[in-house]
Amino acid sequence: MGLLSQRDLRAFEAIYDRYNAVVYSTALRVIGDASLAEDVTQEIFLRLWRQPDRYVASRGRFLSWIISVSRNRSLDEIRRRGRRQRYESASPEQQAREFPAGDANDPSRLALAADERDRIREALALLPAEQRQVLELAYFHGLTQQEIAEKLEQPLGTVKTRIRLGMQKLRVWLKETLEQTEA
Amino acid sequence: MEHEEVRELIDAYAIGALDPEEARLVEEHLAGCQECRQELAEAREATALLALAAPRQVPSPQLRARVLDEARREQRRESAVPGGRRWWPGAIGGLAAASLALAVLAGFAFARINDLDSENDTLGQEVTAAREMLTQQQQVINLSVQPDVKTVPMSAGQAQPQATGVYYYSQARDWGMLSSSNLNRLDAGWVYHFWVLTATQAVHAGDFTSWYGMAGYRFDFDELNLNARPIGVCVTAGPQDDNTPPRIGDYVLYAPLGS
Repeated sequence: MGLLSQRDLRAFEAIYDRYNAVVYSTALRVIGDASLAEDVTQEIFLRLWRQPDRYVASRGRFLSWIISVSRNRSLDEIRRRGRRQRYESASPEQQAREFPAGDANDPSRLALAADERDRIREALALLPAEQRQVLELAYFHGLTQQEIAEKLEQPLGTVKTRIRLGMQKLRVWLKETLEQTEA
Repeated sequence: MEHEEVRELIDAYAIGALDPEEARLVEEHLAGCQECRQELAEAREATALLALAAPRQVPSPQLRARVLDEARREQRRESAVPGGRRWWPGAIGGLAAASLALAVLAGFAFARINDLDSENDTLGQEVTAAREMLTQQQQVINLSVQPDVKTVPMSAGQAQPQATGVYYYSQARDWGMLSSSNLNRLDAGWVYHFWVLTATQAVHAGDFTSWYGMAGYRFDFDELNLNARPIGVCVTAGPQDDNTPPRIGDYVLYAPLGS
């Protein structure tokens, strides 16, 4: 990132090559439109090029930061285009694609973390389906707990509990994984 | 809101599932609680797992070429145009935010383009930048007419009493945007700095330069890592790499933000 601050194009190129798939995949998952997802991806990288100091290393990993930026910019794009109802109007088949089974076979691999990706998917697969669903509705569709409750026709308290339990499991899994990596 | 209550909400806050009022209460508590800020950082790491588990897709090779070509163009432009880095790109966003200002600006810019077309190569780069600005106007107009946009007039500070500006932000606090005019031309190496103020800190949201006294700037809140709800925004002028937090007397423009 230091080289990026010095306007080093090669450093920027390396960062693009390393992170373009995760940025684009996140954008595509949120937006559901390849062309718009590319627009968002382009905007995110060019903003990073123009202002690399937006990322502050002491506040967390770059990967987590750029994923967060990708998710939020994509939701922003959806809200701007009034396409928030996309999921609601999707067919059951489309919805099934958006919430694939935990053991869905994905032949591709994230270049930056080859087997890590598999392990993450395994961890998510361990979550009860109803917990994974509320997390994904909040994260990828930008719905609040109240909106999720209305959408799923579940009590608000149930949705809150599912989010809390699902997040706790992810955090425990992440903590254990990081400890194993460091050991 | 009590500490334990907030802790119960941290996970939902991290994943963006709280309604705006709940989120505001959490942010107020976060400002004074290091333990909860740490908790939030861990929760945000966990939310990233959801994205990493999404099916991997790769963008087209053409996108790579577009992104790198644009970066290269901007680098050339920075070295060619006096005033240097970020001479234009950061200013594109907010310029078009106010429709009226935009209309005036567009006419002005077209006039400048016609003038500049006959001048030398350096100015030709400026023409290119102005044309790029105009092509992006529609995109930014779309932002400014979103239903949840709030508009806050900015006051001029002692530093440049003639300056005018308007700050726009989405009520969901996804992004903020500045549109300003009547700004002084700055010395070489100096830029305008944009700050978001909370009760306890001034967060540098980026810098920009003016174009014939006009400038705009857009940022995303999620990139700022604010520890609390913003209570104001301000613009200062200073050296490019000097991010010293602003003092009230330094303000070029300032706007308090309500709850």
